[in-house]
Amino acid sequence: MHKLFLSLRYLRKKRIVFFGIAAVTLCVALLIVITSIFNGFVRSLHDYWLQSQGQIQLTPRIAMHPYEDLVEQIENIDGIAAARATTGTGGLLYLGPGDVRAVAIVGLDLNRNARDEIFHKGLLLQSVPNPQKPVADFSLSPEIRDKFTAWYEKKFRRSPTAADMPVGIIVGIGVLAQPDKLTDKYDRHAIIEQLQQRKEPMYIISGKQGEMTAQKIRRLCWPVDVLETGTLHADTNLIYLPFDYTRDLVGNVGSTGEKECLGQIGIYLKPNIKKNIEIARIKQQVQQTWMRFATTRMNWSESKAANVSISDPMQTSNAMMITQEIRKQLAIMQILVGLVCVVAALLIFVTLKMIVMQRTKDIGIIRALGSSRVGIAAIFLAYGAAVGLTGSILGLALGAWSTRNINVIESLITKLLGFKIWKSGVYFFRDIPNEVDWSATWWILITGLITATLGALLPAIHAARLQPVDSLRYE
Amino acid sequence: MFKLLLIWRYFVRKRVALIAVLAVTLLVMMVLVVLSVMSGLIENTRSRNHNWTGDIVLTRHSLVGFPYYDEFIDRLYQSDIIAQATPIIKTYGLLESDWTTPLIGVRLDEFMHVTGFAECLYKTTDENKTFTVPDITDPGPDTPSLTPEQRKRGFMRGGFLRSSSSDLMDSIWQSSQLRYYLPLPITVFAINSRGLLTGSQAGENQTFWFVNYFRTDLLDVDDTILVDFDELQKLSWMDGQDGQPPRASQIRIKLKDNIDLETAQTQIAQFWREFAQQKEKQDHAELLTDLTVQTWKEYRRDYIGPMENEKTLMIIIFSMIGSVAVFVIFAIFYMIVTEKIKDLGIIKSLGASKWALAQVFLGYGALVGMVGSLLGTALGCAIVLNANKIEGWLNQEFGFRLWPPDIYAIDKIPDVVNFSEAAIIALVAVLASLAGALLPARRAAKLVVVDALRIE
Repeated sequence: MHKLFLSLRYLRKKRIVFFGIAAVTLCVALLIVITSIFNGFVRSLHDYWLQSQGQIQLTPRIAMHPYEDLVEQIENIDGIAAARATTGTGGLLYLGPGDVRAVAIVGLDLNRNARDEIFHKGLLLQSVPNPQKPVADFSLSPEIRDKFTAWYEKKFRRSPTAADMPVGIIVGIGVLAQPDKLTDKYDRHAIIEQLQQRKEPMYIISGKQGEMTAQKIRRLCWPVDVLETGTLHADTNLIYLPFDYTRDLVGNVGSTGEKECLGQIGIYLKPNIKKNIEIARIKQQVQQTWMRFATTRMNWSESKAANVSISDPMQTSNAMMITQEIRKQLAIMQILVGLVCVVAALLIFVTLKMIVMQRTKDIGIIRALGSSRVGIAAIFLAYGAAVGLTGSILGLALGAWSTRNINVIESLITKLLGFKIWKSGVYFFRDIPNEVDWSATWWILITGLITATLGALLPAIHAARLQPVDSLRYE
Repeated sequence: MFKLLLIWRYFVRKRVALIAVLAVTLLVMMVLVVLSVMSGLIENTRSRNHNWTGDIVLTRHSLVGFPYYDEFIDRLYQSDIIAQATPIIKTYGLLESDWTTPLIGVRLDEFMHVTGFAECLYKTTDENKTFTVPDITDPGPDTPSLTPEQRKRGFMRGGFLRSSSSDLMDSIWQSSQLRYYLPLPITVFAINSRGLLTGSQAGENQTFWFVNYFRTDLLDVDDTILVDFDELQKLSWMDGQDGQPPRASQIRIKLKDNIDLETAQTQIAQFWREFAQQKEKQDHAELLTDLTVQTWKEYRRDYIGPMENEKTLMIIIFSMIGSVAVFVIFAIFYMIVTEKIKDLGIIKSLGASKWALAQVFLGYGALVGMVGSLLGTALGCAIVLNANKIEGWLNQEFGFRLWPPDIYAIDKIPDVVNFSEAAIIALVAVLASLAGALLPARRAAKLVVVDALRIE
């Protein structure tokens, strides 16, 4: 009992010990913040890949037409939450006088995508829940039609027919505007205003898929909405068109008389499916569904139907390499902070050593009253552990709080220093990952605890070896 | 005299002081290594950007470009600060049918004088430093022969892989497919002086042939395709085939040696204002009003800035960490003062002043700081200077690749120590040690003799 009492007393009475606690707190907090940010970054990347490609990706290597039917059949497989067909190509977008951007054209079925989070939150105009219009779409509003008609009549001296109407597109926010240099934020109001003030259509030029001779296609289009995902690549490169329209744009007429194009189907599993064996089973079912679909619905021969890749985008070497590289940088940062932990251990060592030297008499008295050597050592070890525990818990709190509010802290630093540290142009994402990586915290806490206890070890041994007679005698 | 003696004795006899030295050594070493590597990376980034950009850039952001560029270049040559100036066209192209990339049109000879582009080429013999598609020594049956017009349309492609071995690159190079007959159809928008679509209105198309690779190690540049200035100008209708004055997007300038960058920038901006004023009455003078004259540092700020910011951030983090070392020294000295309280009382009773006692501990702190910084600097230098050997050893012994060359833009870890930076780090460490010694010194100075000497 007296051990605990003494440990606590020393902890309360010796103010110098707060430095030791502060050092442990600092190390633990730094480790938590760094680990959380790095792992959060990897998770953001994974989420982005997952969001854009699905857990399983089915890519026919031969152009085909009936993607919608295939998607429906795949969605019937047990364990699959959704499937989405996309197709795409590169293109040039003429936005207005003197303004041309290189873009990637993505054709997608908004009826399916509107359910997904990015499209819900990221759209500037259609993100507001509208009871009349449950999902976002590409349709042109009456105002746009009027404006286009006025432009068309002025240019061609006749009224546009239905076929002359431009296609509605959704444009990545970075295609339309540049973010503010200092805050790295887009001026959403100005962009919406710019969109509403627009009096002319844009032009897209692109080529047919798979043709070396750049057979050019030019189409009129009108931006109906702007998408901000917070991801550099998507925001600055992508424009979205209706899937059917894109298929007709980039595809060629096939043997069935319909436009056929290359595309891929991203397959999203239900959240309860995590085991590899289940994913493998679903993959096999996708394969079977595909073969049945290709041979019966499209009348392909089996060998033709075998020209398909059913892959797991997460397992591509590129994704693995990037992940591995980020993990390695994390390890280097952790080693650096670990060195600081060594300094913290030194601090605790010094503090305890000092207490042992000052309290030689106390120790002598305790020993003289019959306490064992182990008991004396235990006092100081417990003391070190208490410092470690307090420091770790404070560090955990500080680290978790800083991680949660890292974006606020960063914007404060931006104000203070006059430059922004985290820019989407450098780190791909607009926001710093701010989720605490709880799975990593337990070993960080243990590190803090062990560091402090190790620091206490030598002084504890020293105290245990003191002779009661020596320490009690007058000098 | 007794002060020095005491400092020395404490330093030698008190093993606990070694811990303080150790703490200082560790931190100095760590800061030195991290900052040296980061400074090396920044220096490398800057030089790569400078190498690609030239000294001064006149840019008009709009793809429309600006007219009368040749006249202005002539005007520039009349001043005595310009070594070389060259016009550039920047636009976007649709290649084959499904990928898009920035296109840059350059007058290669001039461009290689203005910038360090010649060093970025994969094949560096004179015959490879041109956009002319070379003759085929051994034409196969399927190889089409090019007309002289077509042979002018060579292109250079950015970004050959660093990780690929030179053998692999050579074999790619030699495969005649890639070497001679990789026709690349390029489509661009033709835009007239008012920024409107012109030409066929559906993009202009032309086939180019591969002539060489280049690598600048700048992510955004290594994505691009370089073609001849005149060919790109013709293709994008900027050459005046519609009866309007020919246009360019940029002028890049190399200054003569030992001309100050900022002074030259102001001077050239002044030239430009005068030039735009002279042209006020001519066609399309409105295109001359919104040009920017930038130094290479400003022009590439978006690419250089983030690294410099990261370094500042590192310094902030390390100064936080450095405070821990101050505490270590503080605790140790406090302990020594407490322990030696009687000695100090005796010294004081023998007539030493308050200031003298404080000096003992301040001097002690300085000594600890100096020894720690010296050791730390030495260790840090040893690590930085041998960084690549250490990395190679790690790779050989454990197969651990700390610095994969295809991820980092440079294939060697920067191994140069900036000695002025090292000196500053050491100085800060000594100051921090002094700060740690300050309170204990004050306590020693305020000692009341009677209290100190009394037997407890």
